[in-house]
Amino acid sequence: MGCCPSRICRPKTKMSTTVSQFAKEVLHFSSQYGTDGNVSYVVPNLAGPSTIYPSYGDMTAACVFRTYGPWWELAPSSQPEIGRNAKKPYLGQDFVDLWYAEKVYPTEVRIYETYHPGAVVQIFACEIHRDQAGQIVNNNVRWQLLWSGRPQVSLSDPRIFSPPLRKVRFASNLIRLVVHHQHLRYYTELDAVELVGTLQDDGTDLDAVYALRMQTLSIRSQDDLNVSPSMAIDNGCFDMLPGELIQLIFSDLELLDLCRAAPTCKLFKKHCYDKLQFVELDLQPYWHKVNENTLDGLAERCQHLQKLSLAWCGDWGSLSTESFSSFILECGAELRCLRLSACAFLTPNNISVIASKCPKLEELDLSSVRVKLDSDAFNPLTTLSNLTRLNLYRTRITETVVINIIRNSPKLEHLNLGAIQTIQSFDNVVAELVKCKYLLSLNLWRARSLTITGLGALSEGCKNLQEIDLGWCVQLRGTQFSSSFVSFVQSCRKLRKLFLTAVRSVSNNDMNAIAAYLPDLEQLDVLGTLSVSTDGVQRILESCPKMRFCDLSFCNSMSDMEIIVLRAAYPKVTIQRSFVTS
Amino acid sequence: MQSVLVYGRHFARCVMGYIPYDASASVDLPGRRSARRQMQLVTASCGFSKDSAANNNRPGQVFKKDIFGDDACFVAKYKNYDVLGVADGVGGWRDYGIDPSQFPSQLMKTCERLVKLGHFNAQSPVAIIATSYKELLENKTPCIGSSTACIIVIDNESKTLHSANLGDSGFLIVRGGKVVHRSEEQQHYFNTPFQLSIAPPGLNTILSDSPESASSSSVPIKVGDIVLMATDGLFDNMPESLILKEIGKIKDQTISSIQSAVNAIAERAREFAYDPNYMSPFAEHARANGMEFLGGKPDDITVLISAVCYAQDIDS
Repeated sequence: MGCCPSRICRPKTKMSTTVSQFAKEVLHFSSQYGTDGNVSYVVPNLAGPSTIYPSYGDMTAACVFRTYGPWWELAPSSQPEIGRNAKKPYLGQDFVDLWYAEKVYPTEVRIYETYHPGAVVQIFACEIHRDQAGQIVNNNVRWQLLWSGRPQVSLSDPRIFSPPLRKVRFASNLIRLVVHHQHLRYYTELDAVELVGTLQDDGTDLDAVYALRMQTLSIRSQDDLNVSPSMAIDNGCFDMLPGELIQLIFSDLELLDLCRAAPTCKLFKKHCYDKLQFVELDLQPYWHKVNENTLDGLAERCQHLQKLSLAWCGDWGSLSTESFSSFILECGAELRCLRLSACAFLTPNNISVIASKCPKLEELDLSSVRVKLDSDAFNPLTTLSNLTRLNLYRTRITETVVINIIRNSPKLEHLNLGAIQTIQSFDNVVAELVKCKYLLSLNLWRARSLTITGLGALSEGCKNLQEIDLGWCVQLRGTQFSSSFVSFVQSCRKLRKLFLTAVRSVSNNDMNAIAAYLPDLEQLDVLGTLSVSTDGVQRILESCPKMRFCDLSFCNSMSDMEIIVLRAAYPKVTIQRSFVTS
Repeated sequence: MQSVLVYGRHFARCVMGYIPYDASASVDLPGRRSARRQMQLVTASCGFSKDSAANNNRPGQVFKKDIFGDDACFVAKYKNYDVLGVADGVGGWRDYGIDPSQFPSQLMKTCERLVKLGHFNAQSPVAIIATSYKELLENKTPCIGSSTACIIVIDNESKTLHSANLGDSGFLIVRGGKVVHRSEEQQHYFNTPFQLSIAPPGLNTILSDSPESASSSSVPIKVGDIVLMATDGLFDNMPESLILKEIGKIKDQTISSIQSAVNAIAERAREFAYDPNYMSPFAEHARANGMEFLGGKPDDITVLISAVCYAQDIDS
């Protein structure tokens, strides 16, 4: 894309040249609303100059992430928190990596927010190297934090968000935005991200204090301590405490504090290195610090590891496929939960190591892992027979492999097959799912090949289903749609969440069926349906007392006035109504 | 008073032409100037909505850029490629309470975006139509309607014009006062062109052709050529000989002379459209199909004219 204007201005003072540029390319991201390869509501829309600002609204040309608000966390499929007594949940929910043509020392990052602003919580920068063909040839990466702040309450105005940045030590060409959108009323939408910076280090921006802090924060393998003999004997009052109590106190520490406490004395080290302190390990909040040394250092402490999250970790060469494999070889035997969302380093070899060394695995998250894993890479997973929760969102898995995995995982409770484009026939996949008697949630977001045949199969099995996402299943249509939908809700009466986003055939007849058969319904999305009218929605709101969320955006047969009346009549329900401006 | 208003409107529409893609948009860096002179396009457009003459006060009729009644068009540039497109919405949707201009304008807007993003293959304008159509299906807003579509991509490097045409819009390449290439019209039967459609669920009788059924061609193009692109509102009302006559009046390749030619053609076509005693090309076709018909065919008219010329040397 040669259309990014970069303006170069040379101030008269001795300061170095300032360059302003828009992102050239989106290299990596965690989730998106649109479909990969398309240009509507996809994260790659963030590249290039601003095209929407100062308009405000729900635009196809914007960058939109997959979720917002509390609704996904309130649904049955919500992932439980893991980690050490997670008191301070990590704020990041999504990220996007933006590549810029010119390497600069960032002085300003201007984020054009054009719908529900306030989601950006962190801005990181680093430098990556690409060869002539555009391939990334990094073998390590140093992330530097430019800004971090609390999520902001959304104002309904477009804005250019430009927080004050920390000065940094080296030039960057990659910016990562970390966003948190749980507090927002609707999807946040971003238009463009402009990076302003100087070409040369102006010499004054070496923030020694900050650099030092970055260093102390890094998780490293702890060398053996050289403690003097006298100190080693006397631990003061701590000697009087029973070991279990110290253990309990330390279990309240965050991971980084635990690592910092270890060098204090031998007693502390003993407790901080105790394998029982490392039963659950969530490294996602430290994705920018995790490297091969981290895994090496943690391996000996993680012999009893049961739950591990490496989500977002290891990008741009900070983790090698070998170091991950050797960590799993050493610590995988007891693993029950493994989260590897957006881990771009994963290779087919890693998948076979996981499959063979983690026999107890019950939960596996491979969402947005696309780079090196194609169809056959997932084949080894068929040996895992204890899976209850599997997330394959946006992967490139094929129909045969998915079917084999489902066949061998009779205990499946939560399955996410959202935005998978490599499955030829979702009907065949769903037909296999009928044997999963315990299935509670099923995500078929953008399952383009799913037809009413598949919907029919679901109503035969899967009677315990509490949640289903059929958003953008565009082949769910035809004259038979309504009858198969009605028989579906008749047999899956425990549904709490039902998403029918842009399933254009949904009509009032289907609304009546929902009202009649789904007494536990809490969340309903019928965005973009043409013939759903206020009557139909009102019937649901009346007969489903647990309703909390209802998205009626772009339902053209309802007027804005009718929505206002509905909102007033059902104040407990969040009724969504998005809009586009021209 | 009414007529003054009408005229004011027409004037407003006519001046909404395109600024020519001046040299600064495609400059060669000094010192790296290629020996061959670059080709570039100067494009102007003009159009009339059917309603602006017949029923000026139709409520909800707002002026939008690149939209003439139920017609829509776009002009975009990406690197060495100039891309032009027109689309003609099927008016019948008005009976269903649906604005027929929405579909073609969204279609053209999406094509324009795809071009500006570089999301296209210059050799395959059919794919631009197909991709744009798929993007319409991805839109949260249900975009109901039908439209014809014609897209040309001019590769200034290889000096080739690639085209895709679905339906009865079309284009002509005029060289030395003669038509050297014209697009193929695609009709199911008389006055029923091929069309792209998105129908609301339950409506199964809507005519809908696949984007891939568009006819495509690739022809060489030279500096000095004139490319005229228009919806059927022009071709149904104005015989080719008259179009050529107007094009012959273009004296140089400046935006102002292109603009005045395009204005003249569009205005002539509009006059014919409302002349009940004129034997229009449409009337001739109707007669050939056994229908007694005389006069022009009131329709939305959109005309784009591009002159192929050398990029100006900015150094000189």
